[in-house]
Amino acid sequence: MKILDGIILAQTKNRTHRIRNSISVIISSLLFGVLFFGALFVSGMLNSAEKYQDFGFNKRYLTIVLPQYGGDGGWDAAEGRARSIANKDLESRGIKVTDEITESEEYRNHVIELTFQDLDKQLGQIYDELAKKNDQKFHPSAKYEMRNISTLNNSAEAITNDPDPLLTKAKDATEKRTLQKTINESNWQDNLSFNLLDNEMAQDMLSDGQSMKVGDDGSIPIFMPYKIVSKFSSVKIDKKGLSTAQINQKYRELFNDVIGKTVEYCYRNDAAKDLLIRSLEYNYQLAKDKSKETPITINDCAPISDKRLDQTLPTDAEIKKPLFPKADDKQQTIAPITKTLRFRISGIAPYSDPFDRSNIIFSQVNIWPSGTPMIIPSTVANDSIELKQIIDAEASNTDYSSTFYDFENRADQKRFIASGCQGSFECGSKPGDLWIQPFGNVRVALEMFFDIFKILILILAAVTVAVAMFTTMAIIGKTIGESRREIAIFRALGARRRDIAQIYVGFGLILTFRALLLAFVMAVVAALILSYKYANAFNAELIAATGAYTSNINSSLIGFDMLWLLAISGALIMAALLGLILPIAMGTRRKLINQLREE
Amino acid sequence: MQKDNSDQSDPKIRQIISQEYNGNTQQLIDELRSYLRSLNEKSEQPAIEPARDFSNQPIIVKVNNVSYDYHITRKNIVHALKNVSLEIHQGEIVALMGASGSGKSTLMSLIGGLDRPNNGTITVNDQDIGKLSNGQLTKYRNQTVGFVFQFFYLQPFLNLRRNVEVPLMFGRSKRKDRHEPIDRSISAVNLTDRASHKPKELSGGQMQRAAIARAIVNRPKLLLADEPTGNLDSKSGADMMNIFSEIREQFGTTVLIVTHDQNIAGKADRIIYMKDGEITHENP
Ligand SMILES: Nc1ncnc2c1ncn2[C@@H]1O[C@H](COP(=O)(O)OP(=O)(O)O)[C@@H](O)[C@H]1O
Ligand SMILES: [Mg+2]
Repeated sequence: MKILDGIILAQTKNRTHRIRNSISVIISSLLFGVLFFGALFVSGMLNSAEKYQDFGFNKRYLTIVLPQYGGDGGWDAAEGRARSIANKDLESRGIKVTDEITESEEYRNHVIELTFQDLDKQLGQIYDELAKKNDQKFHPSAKYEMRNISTLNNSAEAITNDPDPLLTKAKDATEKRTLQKTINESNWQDNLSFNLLDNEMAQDMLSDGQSMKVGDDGSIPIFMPYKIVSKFSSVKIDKKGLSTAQINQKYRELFNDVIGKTVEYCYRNDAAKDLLIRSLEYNYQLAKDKSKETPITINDCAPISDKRLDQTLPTDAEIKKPLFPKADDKQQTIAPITKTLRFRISGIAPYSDPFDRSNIIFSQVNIWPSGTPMIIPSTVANDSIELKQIIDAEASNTDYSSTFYDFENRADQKRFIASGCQGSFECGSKPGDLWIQPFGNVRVALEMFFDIFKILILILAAVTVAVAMFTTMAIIGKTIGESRREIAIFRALGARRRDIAQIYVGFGLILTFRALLLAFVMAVVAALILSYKYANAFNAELIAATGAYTSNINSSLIGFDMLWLLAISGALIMAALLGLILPIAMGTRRKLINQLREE
Repeated sequence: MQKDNSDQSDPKIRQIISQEYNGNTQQLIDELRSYLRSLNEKSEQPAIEPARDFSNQPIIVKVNNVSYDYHITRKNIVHALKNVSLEIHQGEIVALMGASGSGKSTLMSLIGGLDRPNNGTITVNDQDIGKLSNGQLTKYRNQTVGFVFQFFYLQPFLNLRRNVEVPLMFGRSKRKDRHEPIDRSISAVNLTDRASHKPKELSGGQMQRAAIARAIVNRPKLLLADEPTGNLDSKSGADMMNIFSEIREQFGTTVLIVTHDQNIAGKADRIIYMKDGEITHENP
């Protein structure tokens, strides 16, 4: 029978059948539509991200490796040990450990501190061991190795302990309040840590007119992410209601507002100064083999008394005797001397706060350890800073330290992750494992983002295919059941079994095509609406994540990847065909003479 | 292949058919009809002249000792046909009568190739139905016989032309070759002006004529009509017999009709009576 003849005979008979068929078409198309929508949406995202390949770290396959807490019983065990140390300490000083004490904030903070020390010690050992064991395994395919500087993290911590590092810059009470607000809002302390960046990578991110040399004012070139930069800037970016072009323009304004500007940090705290110097020394050690450039100098800040404004130091009587007094040399005091470190914003680094929920995708792009906004090029060396005796730094990769690797391609990166798969996203996190994770590359980030949904998508696809199969089976089964007589008539008129099969295959396929068409149209409409609403915000995220402030790229959340669309359609058609086999086989096997009998 | 039967027909009819065709089919049909009517009036007979002698015509249907059982359950077996034998000559119009349940439909179905007999042989147009493969049997149903049912069984969503086209679809004929047989069939049942109507826009009689047009579109040797008038008023029923007769004249088709109506059966060349799965007698 000719194909068209089959279609002519496959036409729906009556109203109730038509309504029934339409309902099943609509229901299946809703499910199919989700698949189509997914394909359109994902290719839209990928296509948009593709346009940013030339910016930021997108040409690189950076990977971070860091050890995880939790060896030897994890936090709970460490905390238990910390408690008994704290209790012993108190008892040795004749202080009775009461509930009042153990519930006090001071006690709890001390226990947390001890717990971290305990864990850090373990961590350092784990990392050192693993690094030794794995370096040979990991290194060969890695193009560069970068290390972040743990001591700088610690210096940031020390600054945090200082009550008001930025307040010294305030000219008057109003500015002080503003600064205080900024400090509070920006979560500034948490973000203040530094990473070292390979020279070649730093060149990628250097803005026009900027260099990696230390400036005449002693300012160290630094790359800052938008999020941090925007704290300094008068330009505020509210993406809502702005077009892509307007958002791009805002980013350019922001960029012009901050680029080349110097940021000063004043350290009035001995511990902070100490750590800072040690970290710079570590920086130097790392950079030693590379070309040396202008040295960093640390200038004196203005004396505190001049700038403390209305703040007065507490008297000895006012200072409550601490529950756990520190050894004298480590005692936290408000330092009489303040040092300033000058940073010059020479470029804008991709960065996104992993804990910012509104930024779900790009939290994957830039998961830096301990939230690292500041990146100092490793080419910045310092011969002239006065090196103090290093107590326990030992250029060690213990503490919070982690290692970055830079691969030439995704395959190498993947192989690396797989070979050392001891706790990446994919591997889970057993205590003592290394945490291995890609960062910096938008495409890889999207891939990982979709990986999270892979199982969900697979389940959805399987359900949809099953639904396509069973709907077809049910509806064709029902139709064939109701068409026994019709089939018998056709056969009496000379239809072969194959012709009957063709008619119902045609019927099933017509329904499937209708569902596919409807699904596709609905998916396109949904994707268009979504794209209309969110493409700009997405584009803004891409700019932020890649530092592509000079670009004028538009994004869309709808993309037509023919391969995907055809694959989905093909799978659903195949499922429908599978669903046709059984009812058709049953419908054409009946004994003809019985079916034509008048009732 | 279909034999040209025109040399068996009346010379007057041949003359009407062979006159220059002016494009008006209806006119041609009207002429033929009025001629046939005049023939009837002359002999003071209804449309068909019964008792024509067909014994010198070749035998087209030969049923020999055929039995057929329906297995309702393993123990409950209905012996629908018991050692039935009959012969039908080419061009004959034969009526099959008998009480309900006497096996008429079963016999028709077997002759029509809907199943094979359990015992005995059925030979139609020199083909032994019992020996045909499934594929050959399907082709046989499509080409050699035509079915007309009591309840018409037209496709409600197709217009008359399409309904008539259905057997051609199964016969895998080329689309452009279909117009001629469709037109011819529709005109043979006088429905040319209704060709684009859907079944529900037709009267009962017209629907049955449409079903007949469908049955003859492949020019079958044998037309099988199981109670074709059962659902029609008596005027339409009588009309149906004229149509069969005209088809027989036009195409030389042999017709086997099941009917309960003595008047209708009376217009056939021969009546075969059945009872309890057996042929009891014939008339004449
Ligand atoms: N499909 C069937 N299944 C079982 N018994 C049947 C079937 N068709 C017919 N019969 C039985 O076979 C006998 C002959 O039926 P049928 O050929 O339909 O007779 P008629 O057409 O003369 O009424 C009846 O007893 C009938 O009940
Ligand atoms: Mg019957």
